[in-house]
Order: sequence, then structure tokens, then C-alpha cells
Amino acid sequence: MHEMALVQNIIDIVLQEMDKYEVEKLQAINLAVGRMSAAVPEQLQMCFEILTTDHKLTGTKLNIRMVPVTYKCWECEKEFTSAGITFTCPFCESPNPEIIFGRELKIESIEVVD
Amino acid sequence: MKIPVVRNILEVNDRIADQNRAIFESSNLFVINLMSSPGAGKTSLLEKTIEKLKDRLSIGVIEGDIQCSFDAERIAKAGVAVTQINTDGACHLDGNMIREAMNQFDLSALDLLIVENVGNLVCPAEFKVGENVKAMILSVTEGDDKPLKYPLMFQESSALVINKIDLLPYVDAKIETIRDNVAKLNKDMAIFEVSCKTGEGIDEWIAWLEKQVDQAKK
Ligand SMILES: Nc1nc2c(ncn2[C@@H]2O[C@H](COP(=O)(O)OP(=O)(O)O)[C@@H](O)[C@H]2O)c(=O)[nH]1
Ligand SMILES: [Mg+2]
Ligand SMILES: [Zn+2]
Repeated sequence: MHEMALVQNIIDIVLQEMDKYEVEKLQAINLAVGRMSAAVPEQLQMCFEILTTDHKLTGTKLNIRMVPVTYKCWECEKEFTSAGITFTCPFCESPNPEIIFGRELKIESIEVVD
Repeated sequence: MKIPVVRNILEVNDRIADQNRAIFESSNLFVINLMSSPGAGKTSLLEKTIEKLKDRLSIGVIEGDIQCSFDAERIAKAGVAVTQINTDGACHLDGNMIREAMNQFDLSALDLLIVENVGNLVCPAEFKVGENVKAMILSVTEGDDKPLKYPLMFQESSALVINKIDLLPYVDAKIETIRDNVAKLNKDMAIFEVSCKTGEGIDEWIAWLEKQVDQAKK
């Protein structure tokens, strides 16, 4: 359960950004989490709730965009996505396509109350 | 109003790990991050490795396994410098914990630093500590489908030690299935079949490790 550490990092980064833009309150934090990363979205939500009790970010929504795994075939160089893990190119059936997206753990944006 | 941020959640750890890496490099020190589930045999493999290499290389060990604090004592008994990290229940080691622990060694006097990570096949895969390579252990008692269940760990590691092969007659897991599943995830992975109990296969692992250390020194 390393989500606690991840969420602590998220909060640190977001507070820095809020300082930078001189923002007092946030409506939402938008994350991109790759399906190949070792983070579980439900756990992130739970840790976020715990770590933002009585906090500047109490009530801020954590939106998690799950990024599907995108592969690129070594052989035919086509790109394709898959909900889970896959080991063959659907176009030419070559084995072991390279994973090019799906491992991200990123903060994409923050949303300020207008 | 939406403000774009685009920052990596693990940026701080990545930065600290990169700094660790630079410090290790300036000390000409090879660092290996050893990961597995609890009980797969990390400490046992360390004991065997130390026994075989301690006359040739100056070795240090950072013990991060929370399972039992006896691990550090086992390593100290094997006759090398060891530091225990108190992870406070954390499920992985991170760059910062290593930074503190590494300061307990005279790094320039070491050739090889081995980090025994917390017993866990998920979390440690995301956290760099400043290592040259990651290596992992899978024991045959854990089953041959583990690569497909924990793909990230298998993709991040350069070497896989399949341990407890002395137990193969008593379990359903097949070495061939493990190898097939690993090949799908990481075709460059170096694989060793060993038993820390009988010593079988240990020499191949030692030869690989020694080669890594030599290459890094050049
Ligand atoms: N049968 C058998 N048992 C082993 C082998 N390697 C380790 N063990 C046992 O597995 C248990 C856990 O080993 P340990 O090295 O402490 O695992 P760690 O938690 O990954 O550090 C111990 O009781 C070891 O004696 C092996 O190759 N064969
Ligand atoms: Mg151990
Ligand atoms: Zn193809």
C-alpha cells in the first residue's frame, strides 16, 4: 500500500502549485494514472480523504483518469491499446510489443473555483 | 478555471534517487536493489552471495525488510557491513531512506552495495532508490503465474532468481511456465534457477553479479 506515499506527494505538489498561482481553494485535482502503474484508484481516493481531513484541500475532488496501456509493435510499428496486458500484436501477431503509455503517475491539472 | 500542471507524482523520489545514483557513481560503487515477496529468499540469497564474494569484493548491505529485524543480524553474522532501515511499516524503500542509510557506510571502501527491499511484489517497483540494477526473486512455492499478476516488477527488474528449486517436486509450479510468462513481459531478463538451501545454481548468479560489478567499474 504505497498509495499513502503517492497521495502525500500529490498534496505537496498541489500545495506548491496553489502557492505559485496564489490560489486559496481548489475544486478538483486531475490525475492521470496508467493501468500498468502499481497504483489502485480506490486506494488513492481513500488516502486522499484521510490525508485532507481538516486541510486546505478538504472537499477538493480527486479525479483519476485511468490511462489504458498503449503498445507499439516492433515489427509492423503499429500502435494499439489494450485494457489489460497483451503479448501479441493484433495486426501482425508479432510477440512482445513495447509498452509506450500506461505507466504514468501524473498530475495533469488543478481546477480553481471560479 | 483549469490550470495545467503536468508534474510526475514521484518527481521528488526520482530526483533523490538520481542524486543517490550520482553519489554511488562518484564512489565507483555498484548498487543492486533486491526485491521479492516476503519469504521468497532475499536474505538467504544475500547470505550465499556474501559467502561466495566477500573475499573478492568489499560488500555492504542495507536491510529494509520489515518482516523481521533478525535479517540484519543474519547479514552481520555473514561478515559484512550492514545497516537496518526502520521503514515505520512502509511497504517499500524510497530514495530518501537510502540516502540516510548510505551515509552510515564508507562508500568509497565498498565495491558492491546490496539493498534488501521490503517484501512486496507491488510497491517497490515504482520507487527508484539510486540502484544500478533491480533484481527480483520468485520462489517456486509462489506459483508460476506471478509474472502475469505483477507485470511491473518483472518489467523493471534486470534479473530474476527463481529460488527454492529443491522444492519443485512438491509444488505445481513449472520452471518452463515461469520462463514463458517472463519472456512475454521482459525478453532481456537474466534468469537463474537456484536453491539457497542446496546451493544449486548459485554460481551462475554469482558470475552474473560479478560481471555487472566489473562492467560498472570500467
Ligand atoms: N526449501 C528451501 N527453503 C528456502 C530456500 N531459500 C530460502 N528458504 C527458506 O525460506 C524462508 C524465507 O527465507 P528468507 O531468506 O528469510 O526470505 P526473505 O523474506 O525474502 O528475506 C526461510 O525459512 C529460508 O530458510 C530454498 O532455496 N529452499
Ligand atoms: Mg529478509
Ligand atoms: Zn505488428
